[in-house]
Amino acid sequence: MEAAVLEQLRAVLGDAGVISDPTRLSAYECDGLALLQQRPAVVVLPRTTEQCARAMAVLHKAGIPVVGRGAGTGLSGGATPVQGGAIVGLARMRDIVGIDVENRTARVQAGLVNVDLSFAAEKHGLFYAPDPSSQHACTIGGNIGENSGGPHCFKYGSTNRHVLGLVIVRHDGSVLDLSQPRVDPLGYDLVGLFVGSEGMFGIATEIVVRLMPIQPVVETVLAVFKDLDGACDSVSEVIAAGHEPVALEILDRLTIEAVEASIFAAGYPKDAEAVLLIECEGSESEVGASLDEILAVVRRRGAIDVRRARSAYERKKLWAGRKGAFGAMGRIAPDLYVADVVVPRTKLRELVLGTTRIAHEHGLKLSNVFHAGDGNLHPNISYDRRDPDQVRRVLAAGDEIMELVVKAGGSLTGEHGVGLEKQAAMTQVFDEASLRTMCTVRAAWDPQQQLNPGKLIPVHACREMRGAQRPQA
Amino acid sequence: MTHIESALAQIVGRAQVLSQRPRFDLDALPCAAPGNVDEVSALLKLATRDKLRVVPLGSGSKLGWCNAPERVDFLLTTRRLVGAVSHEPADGTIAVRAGESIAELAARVERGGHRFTPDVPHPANSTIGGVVAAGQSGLDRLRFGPVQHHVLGVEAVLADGTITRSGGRLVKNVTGFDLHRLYAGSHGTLCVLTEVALRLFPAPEHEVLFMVRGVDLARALERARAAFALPVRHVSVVLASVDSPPAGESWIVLARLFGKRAAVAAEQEALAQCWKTPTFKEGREAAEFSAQFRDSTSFVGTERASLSVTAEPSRAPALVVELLHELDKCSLERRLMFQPFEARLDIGLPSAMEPAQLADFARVARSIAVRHGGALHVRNAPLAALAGLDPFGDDVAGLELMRELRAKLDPGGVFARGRFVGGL
Repeated sequence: MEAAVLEQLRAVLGDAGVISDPTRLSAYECDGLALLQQRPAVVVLPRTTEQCARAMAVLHKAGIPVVGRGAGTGLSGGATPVQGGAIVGLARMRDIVGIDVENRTARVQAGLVNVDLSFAAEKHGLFYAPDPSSQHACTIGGNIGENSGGPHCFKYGSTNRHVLGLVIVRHDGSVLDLSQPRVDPLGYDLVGLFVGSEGMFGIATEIVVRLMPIQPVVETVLAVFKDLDGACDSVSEVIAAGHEPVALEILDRLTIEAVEASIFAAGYPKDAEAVLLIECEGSESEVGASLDEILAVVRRRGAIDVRRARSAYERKKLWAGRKGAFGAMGRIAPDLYVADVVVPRTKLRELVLGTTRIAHEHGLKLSNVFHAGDGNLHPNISYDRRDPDQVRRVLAAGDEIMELVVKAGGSLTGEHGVGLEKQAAMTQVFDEASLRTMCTVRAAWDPQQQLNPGKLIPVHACREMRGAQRPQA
Repeated sequence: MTHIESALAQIVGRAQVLSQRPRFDLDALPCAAPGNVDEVSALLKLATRDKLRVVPLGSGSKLGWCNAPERVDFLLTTRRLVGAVSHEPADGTIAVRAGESIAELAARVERGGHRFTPDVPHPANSTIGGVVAAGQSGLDRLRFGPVQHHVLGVEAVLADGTITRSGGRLVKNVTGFDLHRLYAGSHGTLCVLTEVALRLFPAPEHEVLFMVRGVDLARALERARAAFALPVRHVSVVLASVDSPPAGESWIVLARLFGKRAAVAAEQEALAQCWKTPTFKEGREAAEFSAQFRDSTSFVGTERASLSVTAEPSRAPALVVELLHELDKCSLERRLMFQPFEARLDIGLPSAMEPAQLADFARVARSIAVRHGGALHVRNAPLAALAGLDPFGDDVAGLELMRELRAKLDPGGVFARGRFVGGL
């Protein structure tokens, strides 16, 4: 990085807002996909939209590619740095600008940690619905980039259904203010298009989101199964019968063992092959009627025990186990490859079996914890990245899982994004014309492809610059 | 047969070259009705090659929501593209061809035990492609949200005839950019939608419709707020008025509930207690009345000009009061429909209103809406009223980027320009 550029960045952001020391830069070498690493040339940490815009103008003028980063919890390599590029980190933009109780909206800075918004809104009887498992660390801005989901998105929808407005810093440092909430978009839906664009259209710095009212009655139930099939079949039948619980989450035996041996222990029975976490909320009558019918289904499908949370504490504990599951996997092996695929909800059982078979064929240990209600599977492979052979087998298994799912009518990703991890597999889902159209739209936002280059769209489709290299499988 | 009609006939067959107006107050033009996506592609390739200008449409019921095109040579209707591409009742999804009418689609998904959103007026005269392309939400928006939230993916043909896809057919999916969010509400200025995949919802077991009649606006709002404050999942809470000054407004308030029978029964009891002595209808009678109400208060497909005013919910009541005051000053006959919690007021204006008076009133109303942080869309106004008046709005944030998107996706200007916001 040229000294003159660093000097200009420091003039905008101060010393605290610019990191160029190699030791400190190492913390930004990867996101949650630790397999892919690349040290950035510089990290800039703006405090305001105006600082971000000025820093982006400096970087644009110097021709330096930029990767936006929230908390770096993403799992697809979307925030993996580009060689010689800059990271624009949003960690210092954590303010809640305001909560509008009457209109049930909040305006926040993009670096706000997801769960902090719900904490702040709770006293007004409101909450922010998208709740990724990493919600205690991930940021709203990062959620915008990936169009993140979470267990409760089964009923409430992913991030793009909750974003009403954005302030965006564009590739050249210009500011696009789309933050006035509109009942209907005035013109093209730029806000809707931006959500899930994986940092390739701009850097969102301020966000207006919709808040939801906390429901009067919440019921959380743990159904215990002797086999995973029964849990999967229960979910398929609940969906087909037209029930609308808030969340339907499955954890398999290996996950249960890891959770129960960790600080997230939730009291899941260790001898169960699977548990199904069911949550219903709404009015007393709505919840009561729906839950009775759902429980009849799970019993018919072989649940050997059904446990209702009797207090808010018990409910929180059940969820702590689910949300801490990925962290708990650290007990199985030092590293975890979290796949993220979506399958038709009629094919849950066969595709869960299929992913397990693939892992076994590669001699790998696979556990399942997933958003069953959405058909969003997370086959998790535990491994040790210091062993190159394991890494090779993990990547090969990941590719085969994606191929299996796509052939069955599924998709590559439900909430983690494409990033680098699934870039090559995009050709399994989209033909060249569709990929080229994505490039065309991207070119309108960022003509020089300086924002998060080398991600999402396969290289051959639109002459993308290559970013960090994916290890050879 | 003109040169253009002959060229169209070579692609779709002579019998499928029809005649239709690109707007209710413009002369009819040739309208090609392709029978499959390849014919759509061929028509657009023809337009690209011969530098022809095209307006895509479904049934054409919302062409009057846009301005007049600067130039148009032929229309392209998707109304022959009908039928399901895939229907997975157990997965709660459907993909249909874009020309399927809303009525046919509703019947199709009902057979699988579902309903879909949006619940739009005159379902036999609207196509799903047209509804998505116009970004038209329905009277069930309070419960289900806007139409674009439930579009899972599309097949779209670009201006040069390229057939593309965005999204998929799954209820959750973040693979690739959500170009279908860009296309929804773009009024056929970026592509022709040929297939739409939708998320479905369980068909209700039971339905109830509550009504209060003959109250003034303040009391109507009071009732609506009381209903909204209940722990009830309303499908809609709507206020409507069809009276005129000098008698003053006489409003009807409707609250619609549906879902599982037991839940609806409890909600019904709560609302009955809240509203004391309301009229209500149940079951099929409620559904039929709701549909009748929806169609009677809609201005879609009519030649009655209307104003669709939106704002933040907290500011909407004050905005409505101010607009009513302006209407009174002009002694204008009108029909009003107000969805207070989606903050939308639709004002149906007299069909015989002079264009100049309509334009003047729309400008005043827009300035009031903007002052309240809202927006105003002029629909079905005669072209004479739209001189210097953008039907969609002024001071549009991001207009330059929108122009860039349009230029990239349609560099040859195949889709007729001048119809959408800012002349897009």
